[in-house]
Amino acid sequence: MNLKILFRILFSFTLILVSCINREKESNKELKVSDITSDSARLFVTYKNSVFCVPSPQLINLYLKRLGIYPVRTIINPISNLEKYTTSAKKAENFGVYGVDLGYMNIFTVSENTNEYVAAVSQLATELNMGVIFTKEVYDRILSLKNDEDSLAHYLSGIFSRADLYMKTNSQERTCALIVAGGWIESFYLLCNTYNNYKINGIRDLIFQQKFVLDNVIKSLAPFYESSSELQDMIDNLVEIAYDFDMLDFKCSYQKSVYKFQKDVMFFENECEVMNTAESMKTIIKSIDKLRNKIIS
Amino acid sequence: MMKKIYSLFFILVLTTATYISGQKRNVCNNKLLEGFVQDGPEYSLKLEDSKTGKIFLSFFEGFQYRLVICSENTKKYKIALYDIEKKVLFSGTCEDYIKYLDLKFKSSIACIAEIRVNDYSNSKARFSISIGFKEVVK
Repeated sequence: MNLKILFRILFSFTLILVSCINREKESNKELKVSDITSDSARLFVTYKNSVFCVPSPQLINLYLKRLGIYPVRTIINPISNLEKYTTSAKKAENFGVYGVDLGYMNIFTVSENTNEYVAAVSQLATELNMGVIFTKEVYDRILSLKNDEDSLAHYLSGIFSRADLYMKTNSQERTCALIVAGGWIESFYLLCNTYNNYKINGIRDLIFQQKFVLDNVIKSLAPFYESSSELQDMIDNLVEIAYDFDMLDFKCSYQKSVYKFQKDVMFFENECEVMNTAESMKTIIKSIDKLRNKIIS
Repeated sequence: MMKKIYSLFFILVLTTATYISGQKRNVCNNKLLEGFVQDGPEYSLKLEDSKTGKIFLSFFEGFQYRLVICSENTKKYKIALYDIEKKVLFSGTCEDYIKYLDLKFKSSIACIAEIRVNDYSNSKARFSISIGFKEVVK
């Protein structure tokens, strides 16, 4: 074989090898928001090889919708409180709060206050350096979807997921943690308030199941306990509420075959019972009321 | 001289092939959640010196869920789902990087999904976890 041709082949292989290495290095550069899609999750959030999932607050809104419960305008965080939030911690907590309120008010119909709440979320997003996520296009899209609550739920979930990923990728995990905590506190408060008015068993059971969600919220915040006094305060308050849940006892039973398939979906016919509930409910509702009012004041 | 060049060529090809195959990565994306509302953010799990990782999650009655577990670098792994009393609800194996489970529960329940890698050299296995839900139409 011609030596010249052989050397050219060898040189080409070397070039290919070097380009593979460089592609690996390029992919480690800090991601901009335009790069952030679900294909590029590169920050690994693991605490002792475990992940603690916190459900979307939209789920509680949809649950209330299914029960035919209309939102109560007077119980959400008033827009007039917005000017009180001057620290980044307060802004982050109430970004979560207003985000949940926005979804809650749009469970059924367009709320005349939607524009105000979208503006509040957008303002806090900008002040929390998330303006690249909550752009004018996003703002306009949310307003255009206000007549379609299902599409709005989808869209808001996607936006908040992107915001979460963006903040984790840009070292704003503490802010992200406070947003998650604020969102959970507001959705739990709305749920408890609804139970106070309607006393429906399904809502009661959903309240008690929040014990496990709260455990996950606390565990996902725990790595940041030492990072700021605001997070310490938040975690301590949430732990107090977790103690209120400790009196509850959960027991699940199953059919002989634990699950059966219904059109490719595994359906678990479990029956779960919660015991020691009477006193716990009063204490839990009182505690979440107190914490939520502290967050929004 | 030609023998040496061919040997060098062979070593270079072998090295390149080994490097590229070692770098093979699966791309995880959320396409499997189309039609579902994403339940919370996409979570990431990196196993640090352990063959087992745990995902603590809740499922509520009246909703159908899709739990998607995707690995960038581990093709085969085991998945098990337990309730809080450690009763095994489901056990299976992922054969090709990504596995999803479609689930619904008669009563709301807290669960633990456990991922276990077989090969000890995969003790730095990486996973992304996404959950979607949609209402069950009665």
